Amino acid sequence: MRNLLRELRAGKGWSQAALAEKLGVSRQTVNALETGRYDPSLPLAFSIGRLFGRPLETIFFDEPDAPGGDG
Amino acid sequence: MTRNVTLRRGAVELAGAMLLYALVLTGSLTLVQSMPEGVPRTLVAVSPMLPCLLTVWVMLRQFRRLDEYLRLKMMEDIVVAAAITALATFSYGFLENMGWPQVSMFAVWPVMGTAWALRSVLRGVLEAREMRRG
Repeated sequence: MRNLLRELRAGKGWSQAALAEKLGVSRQTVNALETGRYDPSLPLAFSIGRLFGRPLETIFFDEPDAPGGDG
Repeated sequence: MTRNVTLRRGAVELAGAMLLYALVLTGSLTLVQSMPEGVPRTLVAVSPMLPCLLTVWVMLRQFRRLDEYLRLKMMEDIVVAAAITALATFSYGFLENMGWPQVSMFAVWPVMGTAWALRSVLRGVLEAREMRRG
């Protein structure tokens, strides 16, 4: 899943550590979310949405199906 | 209470439990030598497992304090460590059947602990590299 977390964080001028503190998670977790290595649970996703005042679908996006994938 | 303070408190609890284990183990090993054979001696011999139970409880508390991503990563570390332990102990078990020296059951946990530590360190190094990239 892709997300706009890095852009939204940069827009607020926050460091990864500052965002992690606001969300109550580790900096590793913020980094893993921003680099797409980890998709958040629903509660964490909603916390992110609340923090930035945006609906989830404007922060997280489904990856488009790769051509020739199973389908 | 901030996340870091909570995690630090967990580390202090863990250190306390380990210290208690070391004390009970030392006492048990000393006492057992001067006791006659029997149930009380056996109970004293296994008494270090009581602080071990406390350690397990402290570790579970600490595990639950981790956030969801770190918890997932630690679970992966434990799964890999368990798989390595199974492979190593079963392999050696077959070698014992072939006449290799018998090894104590005490060897199992150090194998798993070492595998867990190595996997955690390796993951930490890779994670740090990812974080330096941003």
